Amino acid sequence: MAAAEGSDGGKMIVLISADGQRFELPEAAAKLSQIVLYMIEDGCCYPSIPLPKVDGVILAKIVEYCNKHAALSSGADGSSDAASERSKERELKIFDAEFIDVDVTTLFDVMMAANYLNIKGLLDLACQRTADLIKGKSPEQIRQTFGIKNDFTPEEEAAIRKENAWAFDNI
Amino acid sequence: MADGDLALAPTTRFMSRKRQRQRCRRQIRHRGPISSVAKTKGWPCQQDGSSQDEKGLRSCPDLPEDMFWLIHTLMPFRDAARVACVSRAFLQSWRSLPYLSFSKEILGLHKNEFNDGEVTSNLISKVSHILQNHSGIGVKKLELDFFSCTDVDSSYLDSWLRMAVTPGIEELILAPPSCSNAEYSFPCSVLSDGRGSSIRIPEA
Repeated sequence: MAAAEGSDGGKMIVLISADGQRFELPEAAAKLSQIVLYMIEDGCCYPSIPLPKVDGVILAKIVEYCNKHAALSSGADGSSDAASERSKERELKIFDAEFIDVDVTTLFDVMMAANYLNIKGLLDLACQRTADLIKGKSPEQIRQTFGIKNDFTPEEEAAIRKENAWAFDNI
Repeated sequence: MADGDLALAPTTRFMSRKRQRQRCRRQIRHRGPISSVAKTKGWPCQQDGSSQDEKGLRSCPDLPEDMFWLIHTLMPFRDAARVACVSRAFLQSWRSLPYLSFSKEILGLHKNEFNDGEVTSNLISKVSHILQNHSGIGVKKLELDFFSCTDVDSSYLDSWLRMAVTPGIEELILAPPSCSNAEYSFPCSVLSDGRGSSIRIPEA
């Protein structure tokens, strides 16, 4: 029942993962996904919205992110003073840091899902986390961390390493 | 500030050495969502699963080419250059990186092992080479911070600006060498013909 009302009287949206799991969340949280937002605006969200490219484990993470950000978004609880806003920003920053501190497999799945669902804040968060994991590592360490195959020929690799040798100090 | 003010602003500002950096900046526009799954480039994954968990290849899914590129833009320039050596896909992403940032420190030329002449010749050679390999890709941000360099001839600065400043550039940061014998006069013509129209002077 997608049009049910939540405990606070707001409309609830139901998302169905690729493996058939059902997630109910407030419309304000669901709308953080541009794709879902368009479906709601077009009236295509009843009785539920199937998301065949996102499995339940990852959709649970996505729903957790959207619920937190919608709940703490500006004015969500009616307060709008500067101190309250700063406090919410701090809370969201801490939440984001803990939320994205996941293994590489989950990180990439979240990134792909955020891209598919068009959730800008989450896509930026996942991409930045990936970039942060890469920083300071040698090419060999990066390949090992992310399971990337070295597809250069020895000659090609030698050429690019020579060209960018200036970037290898202290690594 | 109106666009019409642009042509005059850089010349007067770059003449001053009191400020380390003079910036012509506008906020980088947010890139739109990466919508094309069809453009998938993929991170070539190890096929033997030796470094994978039990989910195997799911730990390095096929990523859209643009997402690859986005991740590459979110790291410091030195890291981005090193990442180019990981795989062909990363190399391609490096070649199209629209944010270029050069300084003695970034290029690893700030150590005592180099004398002033070596620093200058190395810096000129590296910047020229990298800019040549990135020409024609539509640089959005260019930073040339040579304030701490003993000397880099202004003709090189001019040629680099002409090479990298193309329509669509959004941010230009230039700090000429502080010990140069002559004041650096910014070649305003590089911002003509619409090449500087996407730059906005930052608010003070």
